[in-house]
Amino acid sequence: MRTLTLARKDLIVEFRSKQLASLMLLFSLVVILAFRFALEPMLGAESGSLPNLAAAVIWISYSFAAMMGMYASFQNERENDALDGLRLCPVEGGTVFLGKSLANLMVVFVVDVATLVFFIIFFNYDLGGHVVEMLLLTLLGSSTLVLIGTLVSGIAATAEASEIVLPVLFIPLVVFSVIIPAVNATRSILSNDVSGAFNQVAFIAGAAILFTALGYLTYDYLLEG
Amino acid sequence: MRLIRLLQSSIVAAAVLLLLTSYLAFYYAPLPTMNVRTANSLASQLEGQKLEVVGFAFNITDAGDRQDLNLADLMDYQRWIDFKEGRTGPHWWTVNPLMVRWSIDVGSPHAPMVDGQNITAQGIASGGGPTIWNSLTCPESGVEKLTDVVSIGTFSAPVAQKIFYFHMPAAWTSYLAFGATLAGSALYLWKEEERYDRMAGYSAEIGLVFGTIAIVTGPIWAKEEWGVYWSWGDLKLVATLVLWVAFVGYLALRNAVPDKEKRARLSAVYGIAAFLTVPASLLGQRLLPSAHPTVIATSTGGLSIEAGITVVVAVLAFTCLYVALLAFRYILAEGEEKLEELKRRIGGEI
Repeated sequence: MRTLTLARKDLIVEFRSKQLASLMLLFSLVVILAFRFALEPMLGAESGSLPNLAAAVIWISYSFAAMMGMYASFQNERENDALDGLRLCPVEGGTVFLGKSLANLMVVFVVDVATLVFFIIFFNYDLGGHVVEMLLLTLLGSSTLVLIGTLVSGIAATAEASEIVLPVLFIPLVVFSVIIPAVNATRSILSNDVSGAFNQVAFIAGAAILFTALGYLTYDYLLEG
Repeated sequence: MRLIRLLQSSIVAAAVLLLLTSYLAFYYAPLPTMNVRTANSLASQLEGQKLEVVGFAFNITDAGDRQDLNLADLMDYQRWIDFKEGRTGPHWWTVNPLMVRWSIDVGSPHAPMVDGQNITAQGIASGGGPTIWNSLTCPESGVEKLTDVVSIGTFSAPVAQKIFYFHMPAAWTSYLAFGATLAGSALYLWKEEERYDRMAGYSAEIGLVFGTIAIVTGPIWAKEEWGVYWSWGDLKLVATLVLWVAFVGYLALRNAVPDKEKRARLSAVYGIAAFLTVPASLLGQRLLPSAHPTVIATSTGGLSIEAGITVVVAVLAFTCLYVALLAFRYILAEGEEKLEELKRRIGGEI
């Protein structure tokens, strides 16, 4: 219940300013465009059905978006000394972690769906009837990215040069838990081999559970400031 | 005082053992070679069975003009044709779960080929030279056969294998050191005592040194043996690299937080997360059947007793070196603290 309250608080702040989500949308648009420009000589006219390329572009963009979102969400807390308020709340750190993750997930998932749409448009890519599978995978992958991101941004938020420290800490943790399995799963799905993605999906889910436990148990220490 | 004594004894032990390792590695441990008779008897046992070929090499120069070698589906077809039509010289072909590679001559640049993870040996023909396996096709495999097949593996650059006696212990020590960081981090969060934070931090620094040695020596060998510096499909390599990067991040984090207690708390949480993800990933990939190559057993499978002894000595040497460096780091920290104290006093008087 408290988790939901905390998530609601973050979402209300977000809805009032609309700053984060709109910036992140813009960011993912720019990232997809950057990929498009960079890959143009390779792709030429037909960008069509290259599952390997699609998987890579999609998951790198998702990871960037999650990273941006994490940074921005903690920036809010810092700027107005809201972190102190959060610390004074009669809730456990673990609850704060879950609440923050939930709110972040809402924002990041919306942005990821938009990224997927941008990708389809700019790469002229046909998901081949696997829209639902891709959305489910996106949801699962985003969840794990956000769980890791919320944990890491809790670590990096109060460090010096946190905007640089955050990605340095974030990327090594997501390589195995999200990027490699998610890219493989995406490739399987886009190659019409949906059952081939199950193991990878189970793996991402396992990582999500691991990081939920870790975040829930250790967030108290991170909030101590 | 106790620290200095520990440093003295461990550094002497490390030096002696390292010298011994060098001696053993170059004068005692034999070159890894394939025994043709062993290979043939093993091969006849294995003939017709479905099994996973983990690593072997065969020299096509010894194949005479056998045209029934059905390798095209394993290798770059054009290169195979080039060979058959005499446009290229003798080849060495190595098949292992990491890669299938080829070269024009032993020692020349090779290129990674198709992933040969599921290969079944169906027939075998032995000529005058090394054993030739022909007709290699896929399907499911009996994993218990892995060591058998590994033991008949040959090395295309046997001398380069000497680096293994320094590479493997360095890698092992880095895992040990990062494990100590994990333990220190967890203990710090539990007990909140500064000494555990120190253990975690210092151990990470030293682990990074050993990790760097492992990451540098590995590709030097791989270039000779596999023909490429790095195999991105090999989970063990990638995991070690990611662990290394994560601990670079760990030290960056420690540098970025000036406040001692906060640094201890934040880095403890990250230390746990960094260490847990990588072994958890490795374990997960092994437990779940997946598209990744899961078993990497090329370097240890065929160790002779002499080589085994050398490895044990080398591991002891590197562990002593780790203890020595750790003791040295503690002594250094004592000095740093004294310096801080002196600075503070001077500052106070002015």
